[in-house]
Amino acid sequence: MIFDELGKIYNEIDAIYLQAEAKARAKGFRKKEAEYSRRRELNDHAYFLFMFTRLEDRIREISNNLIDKKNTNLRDWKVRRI
Amino acid sequence: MQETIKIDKAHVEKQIKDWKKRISSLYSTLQDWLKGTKYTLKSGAKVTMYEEPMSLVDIKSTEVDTVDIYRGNRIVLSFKPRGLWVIGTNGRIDIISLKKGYILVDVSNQFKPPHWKLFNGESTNGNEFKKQLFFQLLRNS
Repeated sequence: MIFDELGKIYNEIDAIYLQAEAKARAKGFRKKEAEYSRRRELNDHAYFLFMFTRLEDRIREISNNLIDKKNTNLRDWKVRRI
Repeated sequence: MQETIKIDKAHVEKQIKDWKKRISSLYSTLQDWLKGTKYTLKSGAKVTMYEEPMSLVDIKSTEVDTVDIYRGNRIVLSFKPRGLWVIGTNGRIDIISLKKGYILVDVSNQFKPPHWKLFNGESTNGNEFKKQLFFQLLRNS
């Protein structure tokens, strides 16, 4: 499933930059450390954005289904016509 | 009835102050846990904190403390506050090492005593951050 695949990729990328950040910190390279920290943050944002759009789609799908179901089950034409 | 909170500059400043206090308290706890061990805790380079709520109420960036845990001359773990306003949490701290990273999250409510839980990025279930777990991280780093 795409969530799992992207989740794995997210973790892989995070691990790469995390190791780079840790190495930079151990050596006292502050700028490099900050750079890799920022890249991890951007990776977080990208993954979050993807997950949130999927959540929005799912909510939209469920609400549309509920509306359709309600419309189908309406018997009173005065209400149904709305 | 649910209490209404006004998100203004004073409130955000109060949140930042509380966050720094919780971080400091955590570091003190780590220091206590490390007493009598081969590990030492030292202050590291501060990180800049500047999140969206701060910009919305015109608060300038501030600095937050980090700590490094040494074994001899080598850093084995670093605690770096990542952010206060993180969805689903009352603050997040990244724990980094050369081998692995962890996410430490305070799951308490606003202005309540902290309740730290540790996540390793591979599981959605966090573990209570206690002394035993902390030393497990040290052994694995």
